Amino acid sequence: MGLVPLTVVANPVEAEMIRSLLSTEGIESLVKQTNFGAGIMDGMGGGPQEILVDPADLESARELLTPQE
Amino acid sequence: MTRGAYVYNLGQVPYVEAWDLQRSLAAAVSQGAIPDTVLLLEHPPVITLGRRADEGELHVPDGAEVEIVETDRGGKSTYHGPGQLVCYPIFDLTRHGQDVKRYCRDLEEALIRTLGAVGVEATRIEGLTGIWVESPPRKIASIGVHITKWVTTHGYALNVDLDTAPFTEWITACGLADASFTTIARELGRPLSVDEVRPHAAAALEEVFGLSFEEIPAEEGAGLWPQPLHERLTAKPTGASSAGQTVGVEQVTAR
Repeated sequence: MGLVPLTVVANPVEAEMIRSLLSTEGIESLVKQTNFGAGIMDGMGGGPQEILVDPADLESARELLTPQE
Repeated sequence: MTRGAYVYNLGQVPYVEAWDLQRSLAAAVSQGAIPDTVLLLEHPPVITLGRRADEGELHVPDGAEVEIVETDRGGKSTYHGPGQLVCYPIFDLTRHGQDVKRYCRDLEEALIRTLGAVGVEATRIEGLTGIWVESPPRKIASIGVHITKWVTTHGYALNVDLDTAPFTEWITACGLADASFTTIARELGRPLSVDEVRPHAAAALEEVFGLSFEEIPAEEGAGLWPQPLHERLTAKPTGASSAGQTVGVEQVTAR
């Protein structure tokens, strides 16, 4: 089964932060640049990033990333 | 309500030594042995490669005196050197809303306030990392963060007064081929020391993260490891912090 989207974040650094957090909880993930970010400021990479996880990990990943008040 | 925290002004510290210290402090923060802790320092010339760095980003000329270090932080390659204020917040994000996106925004906000306090108007640019001066866009601060079990390491590097040529001549910094870089000194048109900026950086972090810093002085000339850093950190009461009980040195030493 393919990977499913977990969340979209503002930029690559934020994506790497979330991936490092997921990794320490044993959840593997991939990051994909969204179409929205492509071409943002010519010559500069970046833009919003989509984080993908295995469907089996989706619920626990969502729970992990839910902000606590 | 503010929370007690430590701030450590370390002067110039080799990158790997500061990295070791961060990991050790992260273990202590994670255990609740010490409150949130901020390291403020400068590095000797060093290029650090984040986890997304590509080989093609490096084009250091022969003979350049610079260390190259692979790190576990997010992001691509960047350059650190004297004249750049480096800030490593070791925060337990469970004490700050447990929200990665909010932490990023707050770190950016702290940088914008720091720059505002010294007379530089800076901003975020949607989709790009770091903090910028406009226009045209010039990057003045870089951000790269790692999180393990909700405890942060790495942080930001703010260009105070240094030659920005290494950002473009030695590397494709942050993976941004066409980006230009600037410093506070260049924007203000006068020389400026890291010492002048550091108090504003600490104040901005206190405001944004709701902290009240206790400064832990570094021991002159002793280096980081010979001095009883951990002993002093863990022996201090945590004050207003919600951190738990103190523990012995042996429990927080990561290496």
